[in-house]
Amino acid sequence: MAAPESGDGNNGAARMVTLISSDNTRFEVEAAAASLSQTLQLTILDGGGGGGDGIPLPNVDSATLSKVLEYCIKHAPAAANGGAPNATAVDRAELERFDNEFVNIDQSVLYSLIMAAHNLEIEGLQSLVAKKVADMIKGKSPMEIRRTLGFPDPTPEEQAEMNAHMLEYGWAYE
Amino acid sequence: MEERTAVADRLSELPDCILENILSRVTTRQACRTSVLSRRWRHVWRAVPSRCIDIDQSEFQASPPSALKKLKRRRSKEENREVERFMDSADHVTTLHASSSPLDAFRLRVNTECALIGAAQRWISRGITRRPVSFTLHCDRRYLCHNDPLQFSFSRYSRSSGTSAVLSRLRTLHLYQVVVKEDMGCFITDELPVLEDLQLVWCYHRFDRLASASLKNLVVDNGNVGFSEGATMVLAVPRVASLRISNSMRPVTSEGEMPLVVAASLTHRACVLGLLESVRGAISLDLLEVSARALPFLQGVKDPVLPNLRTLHLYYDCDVGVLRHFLQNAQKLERLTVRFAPGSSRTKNNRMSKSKQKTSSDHQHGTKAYECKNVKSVGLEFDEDRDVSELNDALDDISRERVLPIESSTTLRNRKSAMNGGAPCSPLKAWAMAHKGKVNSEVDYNPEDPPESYTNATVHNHLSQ
Repeated sequence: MAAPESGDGNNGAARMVTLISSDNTRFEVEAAAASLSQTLQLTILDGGGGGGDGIPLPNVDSATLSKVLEYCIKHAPAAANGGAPNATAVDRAELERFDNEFVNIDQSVLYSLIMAAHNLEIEGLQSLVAKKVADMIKGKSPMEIRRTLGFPDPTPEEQAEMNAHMLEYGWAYE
Repeated sequence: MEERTAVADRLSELPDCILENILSRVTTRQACRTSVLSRRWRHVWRAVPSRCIDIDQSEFQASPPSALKKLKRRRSKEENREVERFMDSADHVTTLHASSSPLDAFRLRVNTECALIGAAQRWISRGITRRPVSFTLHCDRRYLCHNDPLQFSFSRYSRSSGTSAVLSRLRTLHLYQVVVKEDMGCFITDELPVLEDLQLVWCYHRFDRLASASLKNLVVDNGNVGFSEGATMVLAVPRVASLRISNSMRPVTSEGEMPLVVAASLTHRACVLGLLESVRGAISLDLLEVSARALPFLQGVKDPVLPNLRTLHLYYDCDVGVLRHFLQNAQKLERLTVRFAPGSSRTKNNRMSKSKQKTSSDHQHGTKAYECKNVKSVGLEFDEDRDVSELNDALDDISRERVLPIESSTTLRNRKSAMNGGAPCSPLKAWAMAHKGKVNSEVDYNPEDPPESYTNATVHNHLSQ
């Protein structure tokens, strides 16, 4: 893939594609950004998504898709340079800052995002959201994990099952 | 409450592969704990240790002991219990699945209390026999010394010792604060055919030659670990695309070109031997504490050394002479950042201001305006009391014809200000802006600001011209 010129100017004719969310909202976005999705990349390489056609995404609603595209647009230049390791320290720091803020969102949005990233095969976004959820689990006791993730307090029956499990896997709880 | 439950349900509805992906990012012990969340979760975690083992001793430390505390007293009974519990847990985790299933990742983080050494070797051995794709060993320790008991070596897994090629799948090898045995260099060359990502961070290593035909990403970062031992380290890594050599006390040189390097981050020592000449294709370059003296081959070179360079970051007291060289020769340069070390203006090591004597013969002020046709942004970061007059001179020498277009896209980031907090201004204004704010406060340039906004009112006059 040719590296698109960053920023303005000399190649104003960056190829655009149209994506259509499950609730029929149309999103026009640069092909380079949409191609962060392995799924879309194939369609785009085949010439899809241009003109008035648009690529329907029946599994992704517009709120989630706009969030996904926000990620793709930000990460597209680094990806064009051959991926994150090639970015400089400053670029990496900026992307990191963006990523941290990007996943600072409601859990339900987070879960929609990870599903969308999975369906669209956007590796970086999948990792980012998975890491965010993992961070909510890290270093916590079972009860703390339950509360953080919004699970209701266990019923007596569930509590008994929990206790049995904790006995069996003592090494994970001590 | 119901709303919260609905959120938990949404998480639980995700397919197993996504949940397993999430759980492969926490320690195995922590993954196991999720089995108490609900019936749905009871068995999700079980698939994780068949692909990923993650053990972290710091989970067992009630509170991370401060360095002072560590020095002062021996291990308490409480700490002994912590260590015992950790060892028991790690033994369980490493034997959860028989050696049959190959691992994606093996990660171990320990501190190197003597009692653990044998155990750590045991866990590592169990991990490696499961042919991991990614291997991470992280040691937390007070001191790093060459006769450290936990010396790391793969030699017992070499093919010549009779074991099957357990490391033939290894693509990622990250070692932190590890004493690496000398035979590691040969091992990397001979027995890791698909190694792509090698990071040696704060490691003690003495091998003289690092050769790999498959390596794409190489990081050798010695942090502040000051080992002066060892001769020149020779790199023979022709396929590397991303190279970072930081704070290496040993000189580093390259055997042949590294034509695929896109991004390089190098220090003074690394440059002395012309490592820069081996990365001619670099698009982005970080240089840290590089003096013009370190780049003797730059003098009198007619062809640009790095013809593709688009992004240049100069960190912590690089010579202005270095900056001038790139302003003059890097035709495609688009983005430039100059960042000074915090507080170093008071130290003797003030190269930015001293370099005038060194480089004045080569770069007389104003001899030639730099063309820099593509420069789109210039970022500067320095303490308020820093003398940046020479830097300013250099930036001022950017051709007058070029200043106008740059003016609309140049940014200044004062120390600790937000990444995008800068406002458009010319290099001179950027310099002036640094005289406006306090060192640790955010500063935005606003043309409407009155003279009182500036620490020196004449700066305002300058800006208003």
